Amino acid sequence: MRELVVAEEITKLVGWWKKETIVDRVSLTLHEGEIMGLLGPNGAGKTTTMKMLLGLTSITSGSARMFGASVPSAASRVGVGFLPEAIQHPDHLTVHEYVRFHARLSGLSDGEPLIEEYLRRVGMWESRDRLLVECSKGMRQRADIARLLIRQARLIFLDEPFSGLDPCGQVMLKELLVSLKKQNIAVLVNSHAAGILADVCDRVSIMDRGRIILGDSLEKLLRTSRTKVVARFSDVAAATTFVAARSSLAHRLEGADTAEFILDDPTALRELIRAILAADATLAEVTPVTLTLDQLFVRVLTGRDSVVTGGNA
Amino acid sequence: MLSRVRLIAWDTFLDVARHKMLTVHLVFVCISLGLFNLFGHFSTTPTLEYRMIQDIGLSIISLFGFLIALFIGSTTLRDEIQRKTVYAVLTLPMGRWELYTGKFLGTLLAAIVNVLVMLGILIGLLFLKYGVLWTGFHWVALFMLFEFAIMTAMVLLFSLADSLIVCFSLSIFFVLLGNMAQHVQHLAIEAGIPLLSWLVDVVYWIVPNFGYFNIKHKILKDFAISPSFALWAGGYAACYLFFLLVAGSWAFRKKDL
Repeated sequence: MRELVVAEEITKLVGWWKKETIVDRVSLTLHEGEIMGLLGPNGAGKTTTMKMLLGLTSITSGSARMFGASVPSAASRVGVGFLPEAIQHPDHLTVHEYVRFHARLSGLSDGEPLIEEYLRRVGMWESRDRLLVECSKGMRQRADIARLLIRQARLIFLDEPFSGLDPCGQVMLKELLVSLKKQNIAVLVNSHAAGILADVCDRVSIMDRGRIILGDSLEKLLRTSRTKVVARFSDVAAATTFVAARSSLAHRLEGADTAEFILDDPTALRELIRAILAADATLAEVTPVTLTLDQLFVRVLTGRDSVVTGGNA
Repeated sequence: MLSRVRLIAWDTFLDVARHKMLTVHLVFVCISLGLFNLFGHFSTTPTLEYRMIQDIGLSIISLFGFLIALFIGSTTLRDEIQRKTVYAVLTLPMGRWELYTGKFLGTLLAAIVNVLVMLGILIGLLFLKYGVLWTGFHWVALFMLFEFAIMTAMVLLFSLADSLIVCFSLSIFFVLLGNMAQHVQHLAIEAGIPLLSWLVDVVYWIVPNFGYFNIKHKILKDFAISPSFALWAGGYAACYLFFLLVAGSWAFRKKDL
């Protein structure tokens, strides 16, 4: 797959006298048809990273290329679209006029058939004559997606697109992102909404204090070395006795006769399975433990493990 | 490239046209132009009365023209940045100068349309009251175009400052200084302090001399405006405009959004 974005150690410093680092040596790549999430708390530098790539803010050091052209040249923005967070749309334009304005700015002088096609695709054709200020946030976002699509954007930057959207709007946007991916359009999306990113992203990078502290494919990120073992015993007493003899292992008594163990060590796993079988218990489940993106996010940022309870639960 | 500038200019003009502030301005100007009839009662002859109305009317138009340029010029780009609509445009493969120039042209168009409306009201009132059609108004309109073009470009440049107060202060200061440029230079010469004279000379070359565009005294005395003078003033305005637009585009290109 073609690399659309390549950023190498881009850094942003601000301030005249006392320099403050907003983005610190961030490197990332984004391929065609890939959805990448930038996840991080407020002030992590996600939006500034996007702005640097889009040429809206200068890069203090490091370099970036988009579509092979160096940032911030105009050539690097051919085929790029950006949907900023909390954009306040012009109050004098209707949905149709807004999309037409951007179509014309993009050089589409006779773009009416395309405008209709894309407004229909995002479900805004019926509302084309409504003033943007009269539209809901979800409708305005759909109009913006049409604005991006009409200029045949191959790479779309979305900054906190899910904030302020109701559940229906979020589902609609997720579906739209998946449909963009099917069209081989790459998307870089900034968000705090880890749960939503997990549903749509191929890769996620977690940012904090200007740095990418973790980044990989979602599958690899959520994978852990831990294994969950669930055993079902003949009665409560057997379960309690078995667990009491292995109190050093992370465990939890589930219901009356079921015990759940979480193990890091493969040797301990083998021994535990043998012991369970020897105790005439049923091995109900042996599965690798995966994290949710929310759990990974909390773990990475706070060092606190919210997924597994250690010792007695 | 130019079509994008034209599109942005037209969009800016449409946006400005919806500003309630302009309506308020126009209503206020109508009231002011109506009230100046009162001043006519103090004059002794109809000719003097006609001149007084012309004089006060042109002063009001100048003042309101400047206020319109100041309010629109200082907010048009700033609002787009704050509303983040500028991001949608600047992420297109286009230069920032195109947006900047389009904003300037749209703002200037709005200011000129407003000034023309105000001039039209003045000419209409004079015609209704005296039955005389003021034929020299096109010179006033032309010189006001020069003046407001420079003012608009100056305000737009200062609007790139982070603070609106800084933008307002600098704009008003430079417009006042530009209107008094010759007086200030004369005072500096009279003071006989070489360093002061040198400093004032430097300022004189930096600040546009709006005195060149003030032809009110000539109009009121029915002096003819020669085309060569108009050409010279136009050239002077074009030079300043070019400098201000290049400086503004450069500053806007360097600005972190």
